[in-house]
Amino acid sequence: MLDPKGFLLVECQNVEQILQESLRYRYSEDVAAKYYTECFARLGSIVNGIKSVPMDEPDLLQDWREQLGTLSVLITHIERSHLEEFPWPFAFELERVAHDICAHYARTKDVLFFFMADGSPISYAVRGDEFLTVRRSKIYSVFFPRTLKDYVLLHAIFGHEVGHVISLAAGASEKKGSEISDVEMDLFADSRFATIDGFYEWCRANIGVLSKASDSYLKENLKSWRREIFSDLFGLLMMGPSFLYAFQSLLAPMYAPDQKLAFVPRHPPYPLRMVILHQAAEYLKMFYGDEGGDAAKLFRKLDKEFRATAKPFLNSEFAVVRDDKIHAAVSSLQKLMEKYDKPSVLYQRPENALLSELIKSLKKHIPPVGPKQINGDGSLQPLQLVDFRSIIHAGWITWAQRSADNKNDDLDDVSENVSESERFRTLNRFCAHAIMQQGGIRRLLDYQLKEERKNNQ
Amino acid sequence: MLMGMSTETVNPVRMSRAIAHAVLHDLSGSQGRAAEPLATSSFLRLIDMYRRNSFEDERHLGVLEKDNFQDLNVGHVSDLYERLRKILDETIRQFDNDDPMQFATHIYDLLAPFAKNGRSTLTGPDLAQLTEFLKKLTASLKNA
Repeated sequence: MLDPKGFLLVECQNVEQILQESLRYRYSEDVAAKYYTECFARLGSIVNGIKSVPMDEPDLLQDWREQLGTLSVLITHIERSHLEEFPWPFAFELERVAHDICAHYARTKDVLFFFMADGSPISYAVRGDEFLTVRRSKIYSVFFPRTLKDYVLLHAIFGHEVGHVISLAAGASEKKGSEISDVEMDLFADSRFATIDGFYEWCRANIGVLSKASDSYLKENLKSWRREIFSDLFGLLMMGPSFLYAFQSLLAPMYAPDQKLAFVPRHPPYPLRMVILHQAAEYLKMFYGDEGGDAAKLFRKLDKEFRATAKPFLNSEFAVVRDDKIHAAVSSLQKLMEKYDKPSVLYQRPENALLSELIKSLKKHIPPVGPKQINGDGSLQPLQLVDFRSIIHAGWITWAQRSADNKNDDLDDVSENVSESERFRTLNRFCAHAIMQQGGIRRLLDYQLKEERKNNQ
Repeated sequence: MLMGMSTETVNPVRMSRAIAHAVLHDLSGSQGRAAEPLATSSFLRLIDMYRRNSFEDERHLGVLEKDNFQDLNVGHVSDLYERLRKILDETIRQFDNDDPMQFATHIYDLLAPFAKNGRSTLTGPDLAQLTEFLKKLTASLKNA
């Protein structure tokens, strides 16, 4: 028989063995090395902790056992994370954009992002280590739905998940006084959700809630709703208009309009979120087609689609949050996100000409890499880096225009016998490919800049 | 499942005790020359949380997200951080000092070098004060 301490030390040995083996799996080498170093350091700390527990204090072992369990789960996740199961170029761009703001709110410079694919469309998530995890770096685990591997247009929804990380790390929703919690707390002020009773009455009248349960349960739900809406607004500001289309595409199938029992713990109902997103996008003037001219040609179809899906809810019982509160939240968030500009966390609207160029490529079945120039020797050279969010935006516009053109463009000529779902997948793959190529372009431009500097010295 | 987990998440009171105990064990065993760096870092985060009075920030876990209402022995995670804050505060106030924040900073400064590579040198009154503090803290956390 093994005593508890002996068993845990055996288990530590096993975890070390798994850690050694996990390096052989298909994960990029430099990333694997970072995780290996971090996990190995954590394991060392846990072994030391277990060894320090005296025989007469077995209770202390429980906490080290939990730490060891958490570490084992993390390592097995890494072991099962395969680059070919999620769009890694998108993942790395997401990390590049989200790193600084996540590090700021986690109050550490040592932040690692770990990616893996799992489950279905509801699996989208970004989760961070708990406060008291023995660690050197803070690890954020990013979960892509395994089934949606190629669908970078839908992955615009990750803006929402990054919003959750920021909200949780900032400890928002609990008290006033910090910039993020102020944004969340003010959202429901002067609305029916300003009090627990008002919130319950609204849920009873509109989404079939039958019982009040307890005040603490309602309070926690209200807090979660605030956090969800905060994350939606964060996602919109981070990913731009593509967030609206990804949101609508992913969440509409989960909403049953005739179903009265629409209460889902922790999440506000889809129509309520649609209203808020619509009002926020109007305030941000994100329906660019309203500008007329070239912009109308580019954006109007897509704008119209989203407005049509939001319209039934706009003057309904789901329009609970006051417009001025939504505007204030968006403005405050914008100011807060502006500080993180290398690269910019905020979505930067590209020139219409650039979007047109990207769309032109997509219609010709060419990954929308961006403008190029032809050198004297006939070789092609990229002129500029294109933000991955612009590529995704171009993808959504192309998708909307394809339907509008009614089989008149190149994409349709080629795809006459191909199903709608296959066409959407193909479009996503072109965009994913273009995002991947930005990594190469970045390296080339960096190299050219270095050479230029060297020559000028 | 072989059996239910005792908790779904880290119990901050218990984990703090385990960490404080490990740091104390290392310091005592090495006569103030060594302490495992990650456990020390975790302990420093705790002290820092006290200095910034940000225990509220960690209560975000909330009843729906983490508490499963099954672990009736420990209460809700959201309450545990408050309990942890109180115990830290009471322990710090047991020492003869006018300013608890100053004392917390003193403890932080003594331990900080160990968080880098696990090595430093603590002797005389500093070592005695630090070990005394860790002993009192682990004892209070045990009875929490």
